[in-house]
Amino acid sequence: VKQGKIANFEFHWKSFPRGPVGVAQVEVREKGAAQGNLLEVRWRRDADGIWLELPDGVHGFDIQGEAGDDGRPVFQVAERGGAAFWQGLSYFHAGEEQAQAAAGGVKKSARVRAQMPGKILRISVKIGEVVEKGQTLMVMEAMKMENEIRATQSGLIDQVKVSEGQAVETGADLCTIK
Amino acid sequence: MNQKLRRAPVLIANRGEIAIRIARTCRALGFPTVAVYSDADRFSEHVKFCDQAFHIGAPAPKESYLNVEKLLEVARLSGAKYVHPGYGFLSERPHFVEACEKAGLVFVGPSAESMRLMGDKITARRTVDELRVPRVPGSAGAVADAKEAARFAAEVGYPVLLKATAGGGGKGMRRVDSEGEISAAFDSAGREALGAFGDGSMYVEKLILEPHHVEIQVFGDGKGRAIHLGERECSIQRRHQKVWEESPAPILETHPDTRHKMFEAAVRVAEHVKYAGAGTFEFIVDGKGNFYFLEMNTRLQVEHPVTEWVTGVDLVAWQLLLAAGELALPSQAPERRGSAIEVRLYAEDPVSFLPAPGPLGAIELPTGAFVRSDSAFTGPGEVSVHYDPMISKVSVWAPTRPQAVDRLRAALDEARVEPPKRADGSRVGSLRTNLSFLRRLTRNEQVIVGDTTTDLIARNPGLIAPPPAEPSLEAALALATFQMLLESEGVEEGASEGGQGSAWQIVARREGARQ
Repeated sequence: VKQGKIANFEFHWKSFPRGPVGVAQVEVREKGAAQGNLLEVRWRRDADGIWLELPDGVHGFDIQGEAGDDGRPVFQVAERGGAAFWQGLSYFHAGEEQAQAAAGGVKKSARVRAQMPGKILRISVKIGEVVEKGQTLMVMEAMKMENEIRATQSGLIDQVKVSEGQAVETGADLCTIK
Repeated sequence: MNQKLRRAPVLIANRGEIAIRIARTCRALGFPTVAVYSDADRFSEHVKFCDQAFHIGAPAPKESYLNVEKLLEVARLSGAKYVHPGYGFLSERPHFVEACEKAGLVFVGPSAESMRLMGDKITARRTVDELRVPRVPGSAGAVADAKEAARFAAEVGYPVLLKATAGGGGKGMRRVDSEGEISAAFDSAGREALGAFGDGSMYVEKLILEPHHVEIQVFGDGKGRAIHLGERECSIQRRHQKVWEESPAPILETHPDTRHKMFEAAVRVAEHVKYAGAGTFEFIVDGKGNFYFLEMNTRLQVEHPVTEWVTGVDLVAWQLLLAAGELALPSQAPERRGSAIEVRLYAEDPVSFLPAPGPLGAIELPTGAFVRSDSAFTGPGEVSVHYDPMISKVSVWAPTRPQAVDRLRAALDEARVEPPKRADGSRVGSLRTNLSFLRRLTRNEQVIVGDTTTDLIARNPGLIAPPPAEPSLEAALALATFQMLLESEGVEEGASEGGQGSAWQIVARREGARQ
């Protein structure tokens, strides 16, 4: 009835999952596989993620979401009791991915944000300057240390939203790179 | 037997995991405990753990944990006789030792005099030079300016390290590879040191290549006798700060003569300065087994559990009993058994290693046979921005090093640290941890075989590489189910919120409007 996709996996839900515990049927198709695999999945949802019962055992995952650069939620999924984890996963409903690809031909600008509260000591770039990925943009004092804020991608400095000496909170926009 | 003793209270002039660790031993030995706390720590675990607790001021350390007058007043109000400083804060400040003594208190640690002699890097160098302990070629004292630093660097050859004379923990320290970099590095490190320690003076030393960080734990009786309690290797570091500590030191397993000489040197210096209590001699050992004295830490170290595992000695108990005049220091170094490893679980970004403190949601720390977690967190709370962002130390013991690495890997896989979350799974706050990095360390070939120089991370970019892009079927199915459940909730809640949908949709709309 409902279709969705995460990375290489397509999900065709035969029944709609609902509630903190339950059971549903889903057909999972892996990209490139000749045919799908019909699974019965039982779950228990908790405050940090979800437990799944599958034919080969019970698997727990901690899931945390964050707004991505385009506002769409992206998730980090970490296996409980193991080292495996993945970042930047998104659930696309049928057709959504293509629509986004069509609309998103132009790459959005990246916002550089403060990872922790602190004070801006020096700003090494100006609006309009071209920067390389990894280049130092500014120096921030936090936790008694001087920390270099580096460019997350190459591009043009579009906006600088702070000034030297300014105190900033976690998550504050520092500048944007186009 | 100790429960019948009526001992005088111990004021623990610290916070977090070390305050709890000290209080545990105090309880076992029958010492009542007195905690202090800042505004930021009002409901922290160490406050709840102690018999009495006193508020001492604002979150900034100089308003509270570094406020000597306040601490002495608490000692008076609480009836404390002993003051245990833990590590950091006032633990290596001779003026605090003197202030305690003047107030009639017993400082649990060395005398102010041996602290001055060994705690200051420049006077410590003079002392070890007299005793002919080798050390890294360095400037005789603080250098006046970048020019003098450059002159010295030209003499011993690049690369060199600029270090704050009052420094520690990598603060106020810079590697300089060529003359062109020295001026900017000198200014920036000096500013950092001034901010962190109130003293911006810098010295210069030659950088040793293929370096291993090895330290010797000593314990002195304060009357001129000292013993060693083995070594720890702390070569795995990020941002010049230790993240993995172990005993025995892998580098000394291939250089047993070096080990013997280092023990002998450390004990010789400790006895010369009539050192009292627990202290650590830090050395740098190169790939050939040459060793150079770096500095002495005149306090209990963060990584002391490693030594406790292999020696069976409760170092805090020895400290307290020495202060109470009840310790019979053994004549021989305790026998060391097996292999112990400790890692530091930090609230920090696992790639940049920048501190990332914030509100804490669920936390599960490993337990089990021969596994020890030292932490001040038991449940939802906050990793404060005001202090060191360590969440827990996790340490293990096993008969051999390979078994210890296996045990640590399994222990770390058990650990969970999550930020608080809203009902839709979105995270609240900025908490991140280095747990994924620590887990990778236990799976790294070089770490497994014990080939660990201080530049391990630079040589192994895989340790900080992003995780695989393609999820497992189970992980993808978990997220898909999670997402479907959110949507079914969204449908139900949507009716009462006027069709607003999930919080994500609200965020998405708001973000969209901002573009």
